[in-house]
Amino acid sequence: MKIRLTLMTLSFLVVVFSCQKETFKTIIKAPDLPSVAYDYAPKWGGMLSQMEGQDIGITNDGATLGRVLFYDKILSLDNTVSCGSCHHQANAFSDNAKESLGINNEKTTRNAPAISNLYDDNLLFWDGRSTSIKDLVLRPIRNHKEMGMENMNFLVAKIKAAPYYNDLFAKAFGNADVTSDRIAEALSQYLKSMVGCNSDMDKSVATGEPLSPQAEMGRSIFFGKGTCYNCHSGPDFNSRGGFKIDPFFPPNGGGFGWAQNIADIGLDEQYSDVGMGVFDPALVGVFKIPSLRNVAMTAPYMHDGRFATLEDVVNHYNTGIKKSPNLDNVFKSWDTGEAVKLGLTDEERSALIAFLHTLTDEGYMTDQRFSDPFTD
Amino acid sequence: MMMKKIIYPVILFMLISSVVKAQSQEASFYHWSFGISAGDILHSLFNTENGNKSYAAFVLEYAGPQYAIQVGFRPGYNTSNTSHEGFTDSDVTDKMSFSGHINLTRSVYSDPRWDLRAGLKYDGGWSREDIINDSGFDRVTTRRLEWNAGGGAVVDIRYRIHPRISLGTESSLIYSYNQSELQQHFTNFPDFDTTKDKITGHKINVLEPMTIYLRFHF
Repeated sequence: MKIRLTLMTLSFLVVVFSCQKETFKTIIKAPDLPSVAYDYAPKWGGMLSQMEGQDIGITNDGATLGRVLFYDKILSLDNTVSCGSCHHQANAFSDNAKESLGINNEKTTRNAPAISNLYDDNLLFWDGRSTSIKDLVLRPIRNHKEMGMENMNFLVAKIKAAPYYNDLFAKAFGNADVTSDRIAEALSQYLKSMVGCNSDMDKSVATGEPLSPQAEMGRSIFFGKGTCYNCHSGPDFNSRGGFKIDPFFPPNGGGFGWAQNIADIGLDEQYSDVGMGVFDPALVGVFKIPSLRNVAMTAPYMHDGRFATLEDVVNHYNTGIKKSPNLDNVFKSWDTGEAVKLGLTDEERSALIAFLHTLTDEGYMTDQRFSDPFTD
Repeated sequence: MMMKKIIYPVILFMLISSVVKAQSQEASFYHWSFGISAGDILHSLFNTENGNKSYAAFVLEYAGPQYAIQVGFRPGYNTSNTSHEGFTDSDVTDKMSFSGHINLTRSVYSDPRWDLRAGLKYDGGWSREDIINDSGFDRVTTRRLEWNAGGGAVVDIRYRIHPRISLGTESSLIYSYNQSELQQHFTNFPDFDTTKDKITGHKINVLEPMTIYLRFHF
């Protein structure tokens, strides 16, 4: 009788313990960080030498925290995707895939834009939906296809649960409190610190030394016959004359649209992705003008990654511009209103591409300060 | 899969041996019958994927001179491990399902070879698919829960090739209600478990004859 009772009790206990809620042991790799934080102050120079001494609102500890957050996959709903999953340093923080892969292996709808020299940019994303970096950084995290963390409280809870963040937040903000605002601030500081201005073109501007003969020819086409400078001027090659005003000012409005860093470049006669047209029908097919810094590293090109090479891009401007409903004035014949063709020769196109290659800052792609701290 | 490989040959063996045995028996009425879908036997023998699982794999019936009640069912379990290009983590997918029906039929035509029956069919199914991602930080389960239930009319025709063996198929018109729910469970953060979307609907399905049931009568 005793044996039977003992066996029954043991069986009962086995059943009870096997029915307990499954516990999960966290095994997570901490980031590999230097004992003293890197100096994240941008090394201004070349075409950006006028920025020397300007405060862009970053601290070394803030940017360090931002770097860890940028590469940490726990910021996504299922812990599979980080910002760095789509913004690869080797590609100047763009994605070499046409569409990036978000959580659940879902494709995003646009090509991930490159990240560099955003320190004073007030028009972000392909459709300019963000006007500050701090606003920008949380959007991909919350996007249901990209990182899926729609609930910011969940994001905060996960970051609090990862042991290495306590110290990083304390250093960056004075105490270890984790808030979504602090997450955005740290990521924003990291993104603002990502400046590359040591390209051959920067060196040429700084020293007065010419580029190679072919690149010099391309340079004169860029600022002359090619009229590329109309949209890609300024030290970061992303603005119309360097003016940056109301981001929602239409590009074709009364001629004053010159100041806007947005354009419909005649990719399609009818756009399936309307770009800024979601805000205003007059902006259907209008997208942000991207910076050309490191452009040789950021293929594929355009908002949908339709062009695989710089040759394809130049060919588009040379012969492929279509008469889209909101085609930018820059691409219209002044008398007929038809789409213009640049009519560059093969030699001129090659020269233009050679010039675009001089905008690459090789050091930016290997800068340890921006590398993934979670890799071995 | 291994279980299938064992079960199907055993069933086939039982059927064949019963035929041999029954050849010496006198023809008589058998109340019970157990059937298996030929489609499932063929898919199992040739090791191919059965894309259409809207019919029962097994049926068990009790028949009187006029009326019969039949239950049919299809259990299912599948697990796989998927790696995605560009991702270091892999997903484990577990899918469990069960569907079944109850047919209440009356014989409308019968002779020594043929039996045509008509009646009512009640049909239902349930499935649970878990995609489990274990990153080391948390275990995230994306769960798709689906169920459906309904009823309608059924027509069933059989041909007796032997006193103990018949071949038959059926067709039905079913009205069903269905519900699909996508949930996410976080092992370390259960407070944030969510139901992402819940879809309900109803439809009328015409289920044409999709398989032949090989029935053993006993």
